[in-house]
Amino acid sequence: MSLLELKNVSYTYGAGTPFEITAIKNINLTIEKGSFVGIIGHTGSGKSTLVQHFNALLKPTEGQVLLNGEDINRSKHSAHEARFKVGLCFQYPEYQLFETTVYKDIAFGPTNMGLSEEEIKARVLEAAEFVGLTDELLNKSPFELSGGEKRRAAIAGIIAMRPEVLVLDEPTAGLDPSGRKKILSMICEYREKTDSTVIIVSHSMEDVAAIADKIIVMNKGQVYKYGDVHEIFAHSGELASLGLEVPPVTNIFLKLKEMGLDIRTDIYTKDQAEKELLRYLQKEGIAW
Amino acid sequence: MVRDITIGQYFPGNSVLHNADPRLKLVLSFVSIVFVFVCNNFYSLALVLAFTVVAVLSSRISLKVILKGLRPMLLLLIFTSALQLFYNKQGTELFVSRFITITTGGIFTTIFMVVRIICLVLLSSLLTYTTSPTQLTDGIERLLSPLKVFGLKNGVHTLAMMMTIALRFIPTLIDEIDKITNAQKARGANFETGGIVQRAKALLPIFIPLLVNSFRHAFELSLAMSARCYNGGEGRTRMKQLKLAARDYVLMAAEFIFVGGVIALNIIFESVI
Amino acid sequence: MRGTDTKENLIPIIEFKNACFSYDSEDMGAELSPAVKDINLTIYRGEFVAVLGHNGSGKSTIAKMTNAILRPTSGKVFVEGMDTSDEELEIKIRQLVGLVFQNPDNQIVSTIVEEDVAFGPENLGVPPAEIRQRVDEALKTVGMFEYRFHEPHKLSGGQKQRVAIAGILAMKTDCIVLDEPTAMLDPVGRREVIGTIKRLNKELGITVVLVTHFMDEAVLADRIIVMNDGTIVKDGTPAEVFSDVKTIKESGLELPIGANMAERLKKSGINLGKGILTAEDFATAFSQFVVNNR
Repeated sequence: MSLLELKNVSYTYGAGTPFEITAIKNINLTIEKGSFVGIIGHTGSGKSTLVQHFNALLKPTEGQVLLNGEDINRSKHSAHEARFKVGLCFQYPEYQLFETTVYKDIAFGPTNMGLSEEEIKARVLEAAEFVGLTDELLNKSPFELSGGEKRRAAIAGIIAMRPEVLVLDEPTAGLDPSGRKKILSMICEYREKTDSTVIIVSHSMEDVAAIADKIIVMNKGQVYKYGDVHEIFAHSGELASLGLEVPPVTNIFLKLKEMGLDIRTDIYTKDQAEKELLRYLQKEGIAW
Repeated sequence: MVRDITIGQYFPGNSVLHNADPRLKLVLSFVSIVFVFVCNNFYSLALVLAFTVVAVLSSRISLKVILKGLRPMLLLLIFTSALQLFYNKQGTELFVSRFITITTGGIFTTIFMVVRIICLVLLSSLLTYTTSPTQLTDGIERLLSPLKVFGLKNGVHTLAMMMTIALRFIPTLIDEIDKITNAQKARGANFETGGIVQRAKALLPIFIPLLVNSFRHAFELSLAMSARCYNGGEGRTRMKQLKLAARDYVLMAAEFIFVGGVIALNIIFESVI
Repeated sequence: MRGTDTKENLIPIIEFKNACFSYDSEDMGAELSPAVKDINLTIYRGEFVAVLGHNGSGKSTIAKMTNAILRPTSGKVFVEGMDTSDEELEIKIRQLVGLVFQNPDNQIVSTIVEEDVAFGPENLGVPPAEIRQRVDEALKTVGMFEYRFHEPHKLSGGQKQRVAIAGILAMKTDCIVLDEPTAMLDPVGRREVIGTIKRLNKELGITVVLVTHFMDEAVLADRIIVMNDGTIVKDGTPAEVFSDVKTIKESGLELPIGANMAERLKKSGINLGKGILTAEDFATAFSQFVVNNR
C-alpha cells in the first residue's frame, strides 16, 4: 500500500527571479508503508529539497505530493497536519533545542498537536525511552546535555509526534564510529517496535546499505535509480562514476575486479564480503 | 523567506564611483547631502538636482534599482507634500477654501522639500550601492584613525573589527534563522496565526536557539582569532592600503565645482524659501 | 631532510610532560574527572602524526594544548622549549604551531577570502607587500586562489576549511595541528581537505598533527597515537597500531577496512600477511595471495 507518493514533482527556488534554480525535476516516487528507505546523492543533488516536500515545508512548483492518497498541499490546514504525520528531523537537530527543560522541548511537537496533558506526558516519556534518555535528564535544561544527548533529545522531539513516516536528514553527521552505530541501531529498533516507515538521507552509503531495504539515488535533481538495496549495488561501478562514495568494502571488490579477478562487485556489507572472498578462494581451489 | 531582506544593499560594478576610495566617498556623500539643504533658490536647486542625476548616471546602476529605492519614500513625500501645499500660509495666496489654503510659499516649499528628499535618498543610497560593507567599514576605520591622538585608536579598531565580523556573520545567521524556522515548523510551530502576544511567543523557538548558536559562534571564533595571534589593534598592519588615485581627484574636483556653484547661485539669486 | 629520516635527526617540536587538563565544573565540590591525564608525548619535526580516539577521549583537548589555547592544569607542555603556561610566550608559540578547528564557519573573520587569509600575518605586523605574497602563495597551495575575491559564506565546507588552512599557512608556522577538520564535511570536502593536509607534510615538510576519529584518515599518517579515556593507550606506526586489535576495540574504534577484512579471513585460516590497512592494501595482498597459491 502506498503511503507517500510524489507525482511529477518539481521545485524551483526563486521562481520568476533572475536567480531561479530548479533543485528537483520530475520526481516520481512511491514509498510503501513500513519500508525503510535510504536516500543518497552528491551534495546539491536535491536530497534536502526533496525531503522538505514530504512534510509540506516546501510546496512543489509543479506536481503533487500525496499522503495516503490525499494531496497534502490542498489546504493550509492539511499542510500543517502533514507535519505531524511525516516527522522530519533536520541535520544537527541539537541546534534547534530551546525550551527550559528537555521534557518541555520534547513536548513541543505534541503540544502543537493540541493533545491533552496526559497524552503529551505519555508520548514524551515513550519517546525519551526510545532514545535512551533517563528521567533525570528530562528535568535538566537541554543546554546542560552532552552533544550526543542533545541529538537524541531532538530526535525524541520528532518521535513524540508518533509520525507515520519518520524522515531523518543525516542523523549520523559529525558522530564518531561508535556514535554512528548507536544512532543507527536506535533507529532500527524504533522501526521494529513501531512498524513505522523510515526514510534516511545520508552521505554514507555504508550506513544506508547496512540498514535500508530500498535506496533512492539522487543525481542532479532527479531520481537516478530507486530500488532494493541489492539492485542498486548490482552496478556499484556506476555509483562510483556518479561521484558517490561507495562503501569501503565495495571498493575492495571494484579494485579486485580491476586487477582482473573474476569476482562479484555487488557486495556492500562486510559479511557478504567475507562470504564472497571465501567463495572465490574455494572456486580457485585455494581454500575449502 | 528571510533571505529577501536586503540590508544596505550593495550592487557590485566597475563604475568610477565603485572604484573610488571609500574614505573619499564617505566624506563627499556627507558634504553633498549638507549642500542639498543649503541651496535656497530654484537655480541652486536645479544644480543640486543636476549633480545628483550625474552622480546616479556615473554609478551605472540600473534605473529600475534606483526607482525601487525611492519607493519607500513615496508615501512620506505625498503626505508631507500635501501638508505643505494645503496648509502653508506664506507668500501670495492662490486659492483659499474652508479647509485648505494654497499659497506660493506652500508651492515653493513643497517643490524644495520633494527635490531635497529625493536627492538625499539618492545620494545616501549611492554610497551603499557602490561601496561594499567591507569597504565602508575600512573607510570609516581609516577616517577615524587620526583619533588615536586622543587615545581612541584601539576603540576605533575594535569597533571596525566588530563591524567586520558582524557583516561576515549576517548571511550565516540569516541561513540559521531559515534552518531553525524550518525545524520548528516541522514540529508544528505556527508563526502566522494569533494576536501580537501569541506571535511574539511563537518566535521564542527561533530566537533562543539563534541566541545560543550566536554565543557558540562567538566563542569558537574568539579561539580561532587567538590562535592566529589576534591581540587587538596594537601593531597590526593591513594588506590592503588605501591610496587616492586619479579618479578620486576628479571626483574631488567635481565636488568643489558643485559646492562652489551652489554657494555662488545662492548669492547671485534671491532666496525663494 | 625531514626530521624523521634517522634517529639522530629527530628534533622535538612539541613536548607534553606529565600534562593533565580538567575543564572547570560549576557543580560545587564535584570532582570532575580530568579530560586528559599524565600525557607524555613528543612530536618531532616533519612528522605526520594522527591522534585517534572516540568522542570524549581527550584528543581535542590535546590539540588545544599544543598552542596554549588551553594550559595544562598540571604538568607542562613545551613548544620548541617554550613553556605554554607562560603568557608572555603565547604569540611566539602560536607563530610556531597553528591550529585549525572543526567548524569551518567559526574560523573565518572577513567577508572576502583573501582578506581572511591575511588576518594572521596582519596580526603579526608583517609588512603589507609581504602579506600580499604570503596570501597568494597560501591560497595557491590549498587550491583556492581563484576564489580569493569570493565571499566565504558562499563556499562549500571543504572550501572554507581550505581557506582556514591557508590562513595558518600565511603565518608560516612550522607545525599545523588540525582538530577534527573533516568532522562536519561531506565526502567531497573530506577528500579535498585530507589531500591538502597530505601535501603540506609531504611537499612542504610542515609538521602535521591530525586529530580525527576516521580510521581511513589515520592510516595516512606516519605515526598514530590512540587515546582512550584521557590517556594515550598506543603510539606507533599505523601497521603496529592496527595490528593491536584488542586495544583498538577497547578504545571504541574500528579497524580500517583492509585490516578488518584481513582479520576476518585470518579467522577462517587465510593469512594474507602483515601491514594490510586500506582497501588498496587488501586488494593487492589478496590478488597476490591468489597468484601465489594457485
